Amino acid sequence: MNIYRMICWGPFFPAFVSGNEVVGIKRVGESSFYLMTEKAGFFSAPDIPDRRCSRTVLTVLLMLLAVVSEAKTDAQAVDGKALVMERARGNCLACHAIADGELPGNIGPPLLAMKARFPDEDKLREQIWDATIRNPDTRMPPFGRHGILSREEVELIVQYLYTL
Amino acid sequence: MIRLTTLWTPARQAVLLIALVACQAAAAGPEDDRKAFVAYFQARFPDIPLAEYVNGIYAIDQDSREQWQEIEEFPPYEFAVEQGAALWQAPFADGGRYSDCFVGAEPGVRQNYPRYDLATAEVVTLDLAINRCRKKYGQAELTFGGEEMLALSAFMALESRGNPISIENPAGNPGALAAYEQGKQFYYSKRGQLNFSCADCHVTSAGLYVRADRLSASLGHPTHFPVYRSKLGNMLSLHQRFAGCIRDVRAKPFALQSKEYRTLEYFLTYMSNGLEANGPGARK
Ligand code: HEC
Ligand code: HEC
Repeated sequence: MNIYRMICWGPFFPAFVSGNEVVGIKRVGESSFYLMTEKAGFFSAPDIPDRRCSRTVLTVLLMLLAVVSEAKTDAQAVDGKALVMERARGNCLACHAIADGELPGNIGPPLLAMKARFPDEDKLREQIWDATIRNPDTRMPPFGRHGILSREEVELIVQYLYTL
Repeated sequence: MIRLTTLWTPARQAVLLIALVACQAAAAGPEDDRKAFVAYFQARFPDIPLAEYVNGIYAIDQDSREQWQEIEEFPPYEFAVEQGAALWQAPFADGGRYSDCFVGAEPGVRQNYPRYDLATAEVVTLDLAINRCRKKYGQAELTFGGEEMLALSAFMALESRGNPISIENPAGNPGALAAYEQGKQFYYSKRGQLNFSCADCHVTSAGLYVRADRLSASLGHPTHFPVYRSKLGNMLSLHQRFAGCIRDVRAKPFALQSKEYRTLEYFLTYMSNGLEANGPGARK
């Protein structure tokens, strides 16, 4: 990355690292910008040398930012489902019938009406984290305890299961 | 698509499983184990004749059975069998031949392996016996799982077809019994990141689906090896299959013909005592 681009990117960097969503831009004068973020408030761009950081560069940058943050929210929404369905990840479909899932296994019971059957969220979390707590001889892998899924991934799955 | 297992309710399964474990714990002799093992599957699949178990998943899954029978009309393992026959007949460079090592009903001796060898106090599988024979006549040992070993064992399996599996009761010797117990222990132990025992898939879940794969019963597993796997396009030994299943549960596989696999084969084959040898087989 050259100096020129570093100078341009600098002010936006906090928005990236803090994971804040960019909610708007405000233009002041000919070539000064404010970047509005959800949590950290405003970032001004006064230190961007006017002449060098053209408006085009900034536009491209902001478009990129928009794409990144949008992709992130989308990913979060589908992540729980992907974890449940994908072979290399949770692969719950290997043993449980799940709505939308093709060619499910039937070693475990179908996963449906989860809120009614697991009103206690912690019980559901525990079942996925370590099914051997409830049944020491279970055939369900201890996803959390054996490090197959991370805490965050188990959380995404819990939230997704509650939509079933 | 939702497949519900109405026939096989968890309650029924629990009762039978408890019966199986209780029988094995109470009497604890290999012959009692075998009877309980057989009884478990017969209670679970009352419509499947005992002799059918030698066909693996095709004993249970009628859908894929027809396709398999078609494949068997032009057996894909024929090439390996022919290669094995040639190897069997060729005398060793310094004299001697395979038939000198397997005297009696040779080459159809598959049903007698594995056996507990008193002299070396270890379980000898057919593959190991083949290599011992070569060693005795000054020949380099064959690679386990290699083309020649698979060809020879495929030929011997074919020559053994129809002979009932005849493993001597390990209870007759303390060393044999210990080896048997070791194999049994291995079979029922949970392993790998996925935490499965062999029994979790091939006893408790036999007939059920893991995704689109339907699980076969352990009863009859060792009768038909080696098998031609159409997925892989080559022959596969029993121990290579063990390794595959162990890899699938994300555990580290053991070496082919390791003590672990030989004792496992010993236990499993004793469970299939009396069933007919019907190798080599053809599988997906
Ligand atoms: C290899 C088989 C297998 C896999 C893979 C598996 N499960 Fe299970 N699951 C079972 C079995 C069997 C049960 C029945 C309870 C028992 O035996 O402990 C079960 C029970 C459950 C239950 C309790 C259902 C009820 O009504 O009591 C939930 C919830 C569940 N599993 C969620 C999941 C999720 C989420 C995943 C993937 C991250 C998953 N399972 C993967 C086998 C499996
Ligand atoms: C997660 C499930 C699972 C576990 C655990 C598992 N297997 Fe398998 N095994 C399979 C599947 C799937 C197949 C292929 C379909 C079939 O024939 O059952 C298979 C096939 C086999 C076969 C070949 C059967 C045939 O007729 O060709 C043998 C032998 C076998 N397994 C032995 C074992 C042994 C021994 C263990 C334990 C060390 C084990 N399996 C553990 C899933 C499993």
